[in-house]
Amino acid sequence: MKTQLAIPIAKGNGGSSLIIALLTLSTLSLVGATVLMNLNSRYNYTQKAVGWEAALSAAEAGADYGFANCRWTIGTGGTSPWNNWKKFDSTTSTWITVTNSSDANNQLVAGNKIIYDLPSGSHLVSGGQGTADLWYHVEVDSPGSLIVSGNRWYRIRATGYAALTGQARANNDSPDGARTHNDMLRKFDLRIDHFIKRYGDYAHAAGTSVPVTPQATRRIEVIAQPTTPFGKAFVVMGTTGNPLEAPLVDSYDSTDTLNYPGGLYNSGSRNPHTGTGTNATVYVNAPISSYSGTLYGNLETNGGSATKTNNISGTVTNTASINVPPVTAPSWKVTASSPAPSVITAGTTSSPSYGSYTSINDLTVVLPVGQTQGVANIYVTGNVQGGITVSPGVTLKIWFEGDFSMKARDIQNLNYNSSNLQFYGIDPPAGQSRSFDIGSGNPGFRYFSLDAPAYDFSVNGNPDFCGSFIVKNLSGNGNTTWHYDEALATVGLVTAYQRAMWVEDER
Amino acid sequence: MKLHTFRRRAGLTLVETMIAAAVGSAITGAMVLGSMSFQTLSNGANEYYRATSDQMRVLDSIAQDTRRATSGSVSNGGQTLTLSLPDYIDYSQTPPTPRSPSISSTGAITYGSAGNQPTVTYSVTGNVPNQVITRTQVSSSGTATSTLTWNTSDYQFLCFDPANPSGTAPFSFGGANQPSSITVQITFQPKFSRINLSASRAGTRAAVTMYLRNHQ
Repeated sequence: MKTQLAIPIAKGNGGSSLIIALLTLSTLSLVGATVLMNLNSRYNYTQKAVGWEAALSAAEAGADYGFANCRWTIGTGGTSPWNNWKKFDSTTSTWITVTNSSDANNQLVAGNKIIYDLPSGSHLVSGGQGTADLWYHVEVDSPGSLIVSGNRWYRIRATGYAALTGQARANNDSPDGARTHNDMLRKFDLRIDHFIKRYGDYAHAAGTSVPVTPQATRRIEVIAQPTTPFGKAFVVMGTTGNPLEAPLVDSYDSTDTLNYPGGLYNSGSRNPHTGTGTNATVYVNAPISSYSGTLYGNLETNGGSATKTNNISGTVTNTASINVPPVTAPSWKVTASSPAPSVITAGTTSSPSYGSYTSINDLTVVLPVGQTQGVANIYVTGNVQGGITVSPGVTLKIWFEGDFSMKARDIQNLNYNSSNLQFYGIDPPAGQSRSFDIGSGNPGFRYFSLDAPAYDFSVNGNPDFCGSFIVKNLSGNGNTTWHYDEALATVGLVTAYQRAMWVEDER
Repeated sequence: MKLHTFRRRAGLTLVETMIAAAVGSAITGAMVLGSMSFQTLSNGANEYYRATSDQMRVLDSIAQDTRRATSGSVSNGGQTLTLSLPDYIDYSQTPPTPRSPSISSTGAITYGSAGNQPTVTYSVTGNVPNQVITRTQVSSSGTATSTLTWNTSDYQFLCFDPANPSGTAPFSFGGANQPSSITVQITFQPKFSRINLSASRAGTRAAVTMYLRNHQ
């Protein structure tokens, strides 16, 4: 029998190919998997970094909302502040909604904070990368240290949150090997809220681990400063001609008793090299081309062409434009039926006195019995003339609708501080003018501040005026000098709020 | 039984082997070259990604500090940006806590001691192409330097006033009559650029413009 035996060499070759093919596929798969893993890691990192940036936008939105409520406290916009904010109820140890604006304000006056959480239905939805859900929590307080010159400042702390998509991990955010949360730039709350863990919050004690779904959290603090009228030496609102005649303008600081003993002005401390006494800013609303007086400070004009000359120690800005709110009658006024008496007793600082009169002709305001400080507010529908004496310890504010006329020597502010005597000239009806006239007669130093943007201020003689002055036009002779009290920057009626400080809590 | 042998095909096997060896070598060589190219490409892409991530991190850090800065200065020649910050966090406390501000009669706000406010300096350090960007904070609690870049690269750091984008001279910002915002631009030279054109740097430009919230 003849038998043929074929050795299947080709079959063996086929097996090798299969192995090689499998090895190749495995290698390619491994490479592909590595690439995808890297991509996933990178994408996750980038997504979370974008979410972290978006959280700041949410925090700023919260601060803006808190800031808006601070502005609404002024009451000129018609919107009630602190609507749906919450206060801490100590009897139940819970946060409950305030009953109204006064309730919230009482909490702030007492040094407590009030809070606001953006309702879930009002979240700031993001359609971009990084996050699809943004929201904020705001806390506002105003402790005693934030009461300056009788005006309330606010501290606004806003925390912004951005929900993070993807895994509860963040990659590649620790370039120098930092392993602790503190040392990393972008702090993600992947499992717990790190701010609550550090500081606690309105509902949890510090150290509490509050579980969260992955989120980026950023917190900012904004200090809201009341805007008051007396931030400059002169604000002259006349729009034509050369509305300011002021031979010499400089500054002093009545709280700097080292350079100004007793808080009183002296020219000897003025030093352009150190900046002492050279912070008097003059704003002229008209497009003036030159400034002839001596100015120790900056000159600002609205569209003028003035240049810096040797008589101006500071800078010259011709593109300035400021909004000076009109002066209106106070909200507490009542119908006036008689002139002011010759002597008025001020109220206390916690319970000031208020009076409405048809005119003033020689007035003295004295302290309430047993008090060392007092506050009096007077509204006058007519003219103010004769003289005014302010006893030591008294702060007197006078709103007037008529003309003001008296000799400089008859303005007797015995506090020798211009914050203690504030004049507010109410804007007259359109088409009418008002005057603020100071006559001559051994004047000396006169301490007062004036907010009368619609009044023409004229002065005779050679007085030294210490204070801050907002007028329409100013005319005087060649030896009148003006000394701006830098401490007036925080004094006077609150007309708005502005951001005074912005910080981020990077912890 | 008759066994078939393949002896008569031995010569062909040698030729086949040689051909197979040549083809195999070519394939192996191609695979090795391909792998090397792939690795180079992968490394290049990875380095590029890391450098761009580093740019983003540095710019985020600068943005965070600049927003809250009270003032600052730029030295483009020295590749440095220096910022003065409010001393907001009191690190002497355990745990560190935010300070309450103090307000002067003239309205100036200060956290901590007015004469001892922290400064932060960003700078490019090291020799080309192995440079890093660092952040050094000097405060009452000491000096701390952190490296913000994971990668080392040939970084260039440029800060300018947005109102004067072509200006490279040193300048200060944040104070009275000074710029209220700055633009920070960072570029790097890609390491695996096939032809080392200077234009490849231009393609890596990333910039951010920040407004100083505390501008006077």
